Amino acid sequence: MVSAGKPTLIATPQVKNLSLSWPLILVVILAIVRGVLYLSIFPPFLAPDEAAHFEAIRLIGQEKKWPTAEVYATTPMHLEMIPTFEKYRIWYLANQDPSNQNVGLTTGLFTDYYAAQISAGAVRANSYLMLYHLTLAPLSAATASFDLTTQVYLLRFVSVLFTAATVVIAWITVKTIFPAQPGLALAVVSFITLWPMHTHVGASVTVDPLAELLASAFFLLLIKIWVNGFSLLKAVSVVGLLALAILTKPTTFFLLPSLAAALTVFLGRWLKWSPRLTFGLLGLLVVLTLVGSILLHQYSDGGRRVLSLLATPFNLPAWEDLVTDRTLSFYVGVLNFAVLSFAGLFGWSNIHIPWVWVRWWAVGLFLIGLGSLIFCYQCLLRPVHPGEEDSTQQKSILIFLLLALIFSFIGVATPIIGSESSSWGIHSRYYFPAIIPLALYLYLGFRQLFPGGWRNFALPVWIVGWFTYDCVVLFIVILPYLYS
Amino acid sequence: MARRPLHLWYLNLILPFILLLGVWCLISEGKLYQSAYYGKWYDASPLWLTSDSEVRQEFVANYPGLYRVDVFVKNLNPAIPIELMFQLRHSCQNQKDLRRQTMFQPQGEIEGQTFYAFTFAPLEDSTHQKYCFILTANTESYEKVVGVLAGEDDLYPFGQAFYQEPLIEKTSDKPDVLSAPQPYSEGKFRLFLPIVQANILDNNKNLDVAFQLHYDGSRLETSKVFFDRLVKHKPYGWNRPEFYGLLFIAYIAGVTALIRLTIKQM
Repeated sequence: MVSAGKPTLIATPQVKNLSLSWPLILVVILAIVRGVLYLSIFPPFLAPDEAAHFEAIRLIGQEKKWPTAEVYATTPMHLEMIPTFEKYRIWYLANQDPSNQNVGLTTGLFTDYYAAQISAGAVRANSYLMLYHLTLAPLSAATASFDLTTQVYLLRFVSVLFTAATVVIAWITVKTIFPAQPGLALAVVSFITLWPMHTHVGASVTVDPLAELLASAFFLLLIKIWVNGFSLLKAVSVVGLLALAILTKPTTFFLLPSLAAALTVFLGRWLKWSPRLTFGLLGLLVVLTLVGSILLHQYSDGGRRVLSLLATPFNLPAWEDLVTDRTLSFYVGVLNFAVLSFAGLFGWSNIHIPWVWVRWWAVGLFLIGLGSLIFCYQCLLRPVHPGEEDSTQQKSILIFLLLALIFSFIGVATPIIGSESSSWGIHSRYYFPAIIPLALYLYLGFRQLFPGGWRNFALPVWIVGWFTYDCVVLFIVILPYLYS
Repeated sequence: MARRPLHLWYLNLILPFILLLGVWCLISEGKLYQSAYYGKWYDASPLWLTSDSEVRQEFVANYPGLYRVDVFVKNLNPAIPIELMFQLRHSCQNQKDLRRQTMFQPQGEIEGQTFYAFTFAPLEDSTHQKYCFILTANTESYEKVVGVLAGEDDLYPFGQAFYQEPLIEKTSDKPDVLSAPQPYSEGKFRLFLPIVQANILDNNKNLDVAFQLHYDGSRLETSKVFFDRLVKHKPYGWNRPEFYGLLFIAYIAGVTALIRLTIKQM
């Protein structure tokens, strides 16, 4: 473990060592305040797929029914659902044609009113992972007497608490890796707290906050094992968290190759493999993950039928299934959407920042990516000098986190390759489970852009920049759209 | 001489004040509240503006200082200049114009849709007022060049559009509103007699055109309307502007403390 005064991998001037509690408490309060602000501003059901998740939770909690297709076909939706959609102008705000909802108006069925029109449809138990909905069902049952908006807001608040817990976990994780660099922990949790897209999704009724929390806890425990030593309890907890995360959302499947990468890096160090062997194995793992992810997507309905997949016979795919015949411009368009989704794509993917901003964001992200590459080249590929043994461990963890981030991006990109369709998009919430490595590498890349003597300014600029951007998005894009 | 420690009390006091002032400036800026009523479904059925045809749209202004209306169009041949006349009235039945404007060229594009922007002296007391705009083309031709984007099924719930079209142009029972736009082709002119349908308004019950409203009213009134709309229909606690004010103050105070913390670290 690295302590203040010892050489560290991250070459910044030594700073005052802050006590653990105050900055963390401050950022957690900030995360909760922002979460409540966002959950209050967005009308109910305007967050991504929110109505579908709410209805599934309600069916389990209030109707005591398992949300299968048959149950949706026979159980009327909440009586206030249609009036709530109307009084908050949800169809209009979501930029959806309300004309197809007439069937739902007469039958009172959720599948006729909402799912008939929305591509995500209803959350049906036979094609969805239901851990999140089961977790929130008791709260839904307890709040059944409240009006529908209050019910939605209370369920959203649970997501805010999940996000706040993620902030705590991220803080401890980064402090565990870099105990002498509290600024890094502050940078990571500031990003998690102030990133508008993260706050929006983290303050809505959706699976992503729980998936992110479980995945972050998985990273923390794995790094704790790495730094503080192995224990059976920790190992069992890591496996348990992995299982729970996978049962929550397919976007956490990247944790499986991440675990394999962690083992490879760890064994490489322990058994003193040559760097070529270690990096060769890691490269192979990346290729296998890429191909495997495409296959998993194609054979398991985007990963959602992964459990039923085990019971069905597997046939080797044709070569055409592995190779996309789309042109490069198609993928450039997808990347354009990915930048938009990172920078600001709210509601039902209809409230977005102006396209001019997206271009600036693309430039900014490119530069930060360049900074990250320079960082990786300078800090991860550089040979360890005598006296820097502590940095070796940090380097191993950083390599593992980088691979986890790559696996997460593979996980969100392969549905597009696998389906040869951009309908899946690259929504930023799909890589929220990799928020810790994402935040860390974004900041490290950003800081790398500052000349050596100016690096002290990176953290204040980072925080002020995100705060300013959040205000701009909130007051120029979101609020005028919702309340104009 | 010993260097004096950096005192940050001024940051604690001045920064939140500046930030709150900035937030209020943004909230009260009427030009940010562009009520946009357009979407992907609107481009399905243009209402062609030819001789003797006109489009009327009722709407409600939500903010004070209404000063501009953008109307989205399909322009099959930008090379042909079509002069569009815009009249703003208190209702579609009213004969008195509140404002009148003429435009020759579209002013720009939003999401690939061309629009004409009709700007006029602001209507200071426009909040919650019902208006109607009327669009006509100053042309003798029946050629379909400029069509106002429109959709059916009551896409804009706070008013409706009416389309008055030349009777002679109809070739079947199916209204032209639903017909696919024909590309402009030179040498295919047809002569129409200027006969206009009578009582056309009854046939266009759920029609709405694609338009966007712009405001530039007083800051105080604008922020008041904003908070009214923010709390509307919200449950207990969320239905009070003070709740949102407190959240904003807490947010700003938290960020100020965070910035102070990072500066201390430097």
